[in-house]
Amino acid sequence: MPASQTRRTILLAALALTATALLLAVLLRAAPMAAQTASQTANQTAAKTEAAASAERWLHIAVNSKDGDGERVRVNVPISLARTVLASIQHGKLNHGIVHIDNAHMDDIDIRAILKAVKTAQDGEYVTVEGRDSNVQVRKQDGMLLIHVVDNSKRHKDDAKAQRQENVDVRVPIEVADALFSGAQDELNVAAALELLARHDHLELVSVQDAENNVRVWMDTKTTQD
Amino acid sequence: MIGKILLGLTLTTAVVLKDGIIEINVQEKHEGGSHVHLYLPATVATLGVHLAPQERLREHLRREGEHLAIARTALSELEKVSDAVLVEVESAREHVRVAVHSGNFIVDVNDANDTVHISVPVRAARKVVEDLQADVPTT
Repeated sequence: MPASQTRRTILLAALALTATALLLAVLLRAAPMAAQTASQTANQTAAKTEAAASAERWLHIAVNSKDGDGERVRVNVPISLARTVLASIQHGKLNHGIVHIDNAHMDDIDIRAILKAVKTAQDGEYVTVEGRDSNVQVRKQDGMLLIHVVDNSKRHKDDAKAQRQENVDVRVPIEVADALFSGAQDELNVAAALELLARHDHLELVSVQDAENNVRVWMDTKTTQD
Repeated sequence: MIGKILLGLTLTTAVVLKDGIIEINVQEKHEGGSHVHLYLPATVATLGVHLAPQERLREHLRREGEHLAIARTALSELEKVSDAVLVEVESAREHVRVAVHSGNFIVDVNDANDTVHISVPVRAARKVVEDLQADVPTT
């Protein structure tokens, strides 16, 4: 082997060794850092989860009017504020978070009876109530009470064919609905329902669509509706 | 002399900063409409409670005692609320906005006739309500 080739081989070997040593050094230094980063990421995730768990829950209401004025209403209320203020009011039909309702059967639909039926039913089973002016469909799915109402009463009254139907969709955790109707026959325990509602992170609660308005009610941990 | 002036200024600043500032800005839009823009130390509102005619105040409080309790609860809760727009109404005719920002309760109204901006420190408002509550006749 010529001397020049030997020198080249030795040089390459030295370079390879140096590169390997450098690579090992980098890897050895990086390993604790990576472990530290992973640990930090885990801590941050845990902190975020904890923050989300303790974060304030906000109730959001959005109303978009379809009339020429194009009115938009946005309401954002911390659930704790709503609950505390409701509990402090004793006036008229509102008594420390409990609302007295005049017509407990709500136009011949006994909500308590439906709730009782749905609670004992399997997921996906339906309770359907067909009324003169409205159809109500109640379903249970993953601990949620899903209510779909189609109200045709406006179509009868106005005698107009198009866009007079009102669609209402309500999604409520069963335990929240249970708390809401936990009082006497003519009462709604709103305070108790809000307390249980605040244990959830994000819920789409109500959607109403009719010829005049679109209404959406939901809750999450954000202060805004963006 | 300078020391007294400085002491006075320091005390005034302390009083102003202690309870915050109430801002009222009303601008009428019609031609020749008035423009009122006031900055008041919120402490003035607290003092105002004690300066109001006591007999008439008591008469009002007797009727409004229940509402004061609700207002106090609401304000106490509002103090804990982070910055947020609580209510916003937008239409072609008007824009109304009720918000909480940096401990202030803010109302903005912009309609065809007026532009109104009111900012009240929530803490000071709560203190006023508490003072009024303390004056509510027990019988």
